[in-house]
Amino acid sequence: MPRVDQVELDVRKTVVFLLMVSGSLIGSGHPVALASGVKNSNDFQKASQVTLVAVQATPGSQVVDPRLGGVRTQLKQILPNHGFQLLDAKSQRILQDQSVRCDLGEGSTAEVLLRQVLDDTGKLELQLLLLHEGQAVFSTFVKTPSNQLFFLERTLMDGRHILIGVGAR
Amino acid sequence: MRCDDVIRELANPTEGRDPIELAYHLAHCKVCARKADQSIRLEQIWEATRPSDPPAETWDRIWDRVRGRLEGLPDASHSRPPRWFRLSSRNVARARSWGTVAAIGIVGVSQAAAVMLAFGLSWKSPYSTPPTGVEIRRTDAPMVVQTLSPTGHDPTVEIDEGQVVLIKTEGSQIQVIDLSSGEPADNVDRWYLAFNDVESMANPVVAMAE
Repeated sequence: MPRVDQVELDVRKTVVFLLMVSGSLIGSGHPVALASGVKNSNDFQKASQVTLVAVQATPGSQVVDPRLGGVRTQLKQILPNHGFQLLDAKSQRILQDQSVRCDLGEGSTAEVLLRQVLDDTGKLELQLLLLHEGQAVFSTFVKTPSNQLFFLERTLMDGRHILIGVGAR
Repeated sequence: MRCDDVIRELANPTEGRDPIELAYHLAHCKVCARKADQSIRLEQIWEATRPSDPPAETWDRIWDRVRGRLEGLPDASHSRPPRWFRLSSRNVARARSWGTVAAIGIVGVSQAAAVMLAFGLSWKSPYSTPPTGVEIRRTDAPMVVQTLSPTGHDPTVEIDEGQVVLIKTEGSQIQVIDLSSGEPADNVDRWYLAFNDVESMANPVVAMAE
């Protein structure tokens, strides 16, 4: 019959083992993969982290949403003499033919569809869509290197001036 | 890759690791590059100052001493673990907490070792610099690089490496403007950092302290 002290030692060993295993799992990034719907390492290689940010630009204003403080300089470079209000931002690791959407309000939506993770030239192919009440009002294909932001500027049907930033990696 | 991904990847490399992407991130992200540099320096300090492993005879002497002490114990306690190895009920809770601390320490040390190893490998890797051979077109002022008119099907915008493109739509016309403006004086790609900021904005990380 095991002694009480030995049981305690066994418990300690088990705790140490479990903590080491959990540490390894945390370190290996399983939470990211599980949270994004990417099921295995093979999928992970075919996936891409697509980021979409939608900003309303107001001509003549100097007001910049505090949440955009980190990119204020870049926004001012794109549209000088404008104020900026963050509408929505999304970033998801998605597979080919999956998309990321941002709500622009007033029935409008911006959507980026991952058409191809990497083509022959090492670029990602994306389709950028603007929708109003579910109907596409603008669509363009973009072939871009990874790790680069690009922007779309457009005046919506309700008169709002929108700046959309897109990047993938 | 995000900064979090890079640090995680360096701490615990996965099979799908892309060394080019990793090196590209380190070449453009000042924060991660600084962390990598610090880790390399830490590794150098450790290599320069770590105590040498004791010779085999030392271990033999220690084990002999332990064996001698065990054999010298009274018969009644011979089958029991040595006194220093036993836990009294009063000390069980303390021992548990120390066991937890030790476990966290072991995990932390192993992760740190993995980080240092990964940084060391990437530092010596031929991929340490971003791939060259791609002509990066930059201008001092924004420049229209494409004008597209829809012809029944959706147009395709081609973006080159290093370009920061603004797609401007007016009516039925699409203008593609390159906003990039030469190499920054401090060699930090602000647009790349902006990408990191936007990504963090979309997936904010909440830091918690006990």
